[in-house]
Amino acid sequence: MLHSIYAITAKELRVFLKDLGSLFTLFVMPLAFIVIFSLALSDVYSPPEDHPIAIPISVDRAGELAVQIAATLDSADGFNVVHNDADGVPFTAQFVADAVAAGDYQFAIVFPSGFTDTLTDPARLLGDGAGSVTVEFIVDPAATLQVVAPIQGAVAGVIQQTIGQMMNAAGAEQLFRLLELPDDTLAMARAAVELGPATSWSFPVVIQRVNPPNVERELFPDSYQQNVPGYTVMFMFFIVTVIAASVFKERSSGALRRVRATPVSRIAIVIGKTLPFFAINFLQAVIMFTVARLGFSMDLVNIPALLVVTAGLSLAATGMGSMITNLVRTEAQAGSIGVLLILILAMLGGSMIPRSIMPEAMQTIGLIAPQSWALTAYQDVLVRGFGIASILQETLILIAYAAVFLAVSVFRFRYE
Amino acid sequence: MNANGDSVATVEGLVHRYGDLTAIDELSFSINRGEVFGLLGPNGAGKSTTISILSCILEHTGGRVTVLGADAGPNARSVKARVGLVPQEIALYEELSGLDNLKFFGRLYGLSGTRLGQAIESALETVGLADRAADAVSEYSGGMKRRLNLAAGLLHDPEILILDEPTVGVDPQSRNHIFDNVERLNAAGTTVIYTTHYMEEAERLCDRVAIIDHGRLVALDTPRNLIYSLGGGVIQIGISPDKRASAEAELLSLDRITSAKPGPDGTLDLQTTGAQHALVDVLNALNAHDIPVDSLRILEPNLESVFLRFTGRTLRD
Repeated sequence: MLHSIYAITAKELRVFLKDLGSLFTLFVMPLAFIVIFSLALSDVYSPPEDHPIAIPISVDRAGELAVQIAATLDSADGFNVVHNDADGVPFTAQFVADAVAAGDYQFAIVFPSGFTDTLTDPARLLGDGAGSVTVEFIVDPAATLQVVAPIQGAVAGVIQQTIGQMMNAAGAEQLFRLLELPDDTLAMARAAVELGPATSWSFPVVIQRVNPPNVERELFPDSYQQNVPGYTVMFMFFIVTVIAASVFKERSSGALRRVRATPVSRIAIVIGKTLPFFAINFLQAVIMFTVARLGFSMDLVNIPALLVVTAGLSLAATGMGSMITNLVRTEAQAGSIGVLLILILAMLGGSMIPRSIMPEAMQTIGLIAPQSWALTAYQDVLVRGFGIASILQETLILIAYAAVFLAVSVFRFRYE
Repeated sequence: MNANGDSVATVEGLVHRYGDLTAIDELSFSINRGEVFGLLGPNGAGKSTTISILSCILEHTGGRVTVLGADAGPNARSVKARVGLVPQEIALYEELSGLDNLKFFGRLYGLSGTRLGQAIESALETVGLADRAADAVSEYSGGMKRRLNLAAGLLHDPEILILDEPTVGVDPQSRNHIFDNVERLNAAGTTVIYTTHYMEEAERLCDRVAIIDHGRLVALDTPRNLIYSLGGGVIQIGISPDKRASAEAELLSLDRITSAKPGPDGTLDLQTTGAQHALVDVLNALNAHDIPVDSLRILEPNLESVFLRFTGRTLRD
């Protein structure tokens, strides 16, 4: 009996060692996942000073107080403030708003013109302090609330602290001048003001969260608008397993070899085999959005634009499925390597965790993933409320990906 | 036999290698229009590789192959349109009906509309599956699948029909059906290239047979001439080398032995006027001269024996 057990065990090990797909799944896949996930989330689990959040601030004609707030914010851990261009010219409000709209930044701050003068107006300081000044906190609607809220809180804290101190000091200074205090008393009084609490006045600044200028959506997209695009994008690429099963079955039956004996080109075969999966993939996305709409009242915002993005995404997904199928040797490899690749690209592309919380290098690397372009386009439609014109670039990039994937498929297509 | 001497395919110095393995080694022959040309050989002899090259699904690595006047190769689409391949495996879509399978392959050959419908009807009629066309192929018996496999190769009315071991694993009834189909198609003018390792099939169907072993052409002639070359049969006898010369001289003096020549594996091949009767004379003569016999084999006059004689192996080795 021991001999039999040995024989079976030895045989299983030999078979297993020949199965590269299984080896890959068991050893390489978890390692790749751990490494890439850790890299993508490294900013989340490291001190904020290691990965400061870049915030453009417009202090244009806002005065010294705004500049001081910007400097204080810049010196705070976790923020990297820019408020001048390379020539030292202050950013305008329009410039920083456009920068967020273009996706260059997730946040921007605009101090209104005359901000300092208004807050330090003696009449106001010595009066009842009524009225307030509005500072705009421009936020990309695609940024999740979990990310926005603490940053907005931190920004508000810095503004409140700086203005509080300034107001104490400035208001007291006006008072001291009226009282014509002697120098030694004045020095003691000033020192006392410096140490005093900053909240002795009602806070005169309102921080208002606003959308970038080209966004016409409500400020807080719902859970479905945030999650449906990400998971739709991720799961649409799983078409690779279905394509691989179909092609490998056709190969093993000899049917593809027989097809080769017919006067049909490889291009025709690859396109003919891709089109039905494109239709299935497209339908898959349509059903997901339909369920989200009918079952959960998700606002689809602009259905034609969604369909355009979905068409580009389906082409890229089926193209990638076809390419992977034609690059690997076995269906098992398509299942392991293909799924691993899809999960990694989904993560890099922002389907699992927002790209905005990844380190900048990972965000750049993420652009390799077609998923990132699809997700941006979906968010442009669903969260930012953009129309077809705004998602054409992403859609064309997805189509370009599909063209490359299909070209590789044709080149690598095997009948047996 | 329907051959008219006009060549539809020529193979000159054909070589094909899979990496370091030479599957076809300097193979040369030509196939006449209208004949049934048999490729006979054991598994692994190179038959399937040869017909893969002839049907333009495999690019050969050396030599020259022309089919219907054009160089053969995977890009020879004009050739493919005029050649029908019936592969050894059941290359069909089991989930689809027989009709849907034929529609698919017919369309790949450029057929559509009425032409496609007529081609399917004719092919189904030929293989006797018209009444089961709507059924899924997965519900067919092995023999029915083989017949549908044949039908899919007939749709475009090919000038050359290549059949790769079409009777493997089929019941006698379906086998006879396939034989009848091949004979009927050949009578209608279709050139047939038929690979098999069943000698009786080659004997029944083929006008000429090329015997292939280890990728080389061992013999090429009509079945009758090949069998005739064995005369009344061959006795293949194993004798130690030191006694072989004296044994040969002694045996050639026997009436029923017409010739003797070295055979495979160091044997001596004795051509006889009748193997069974000559055997007694041979054994008596060797016994009388105290020459021990190491091995003995009688090759009756058939293609199996022809193959054995030339290669020292049986077709099913």
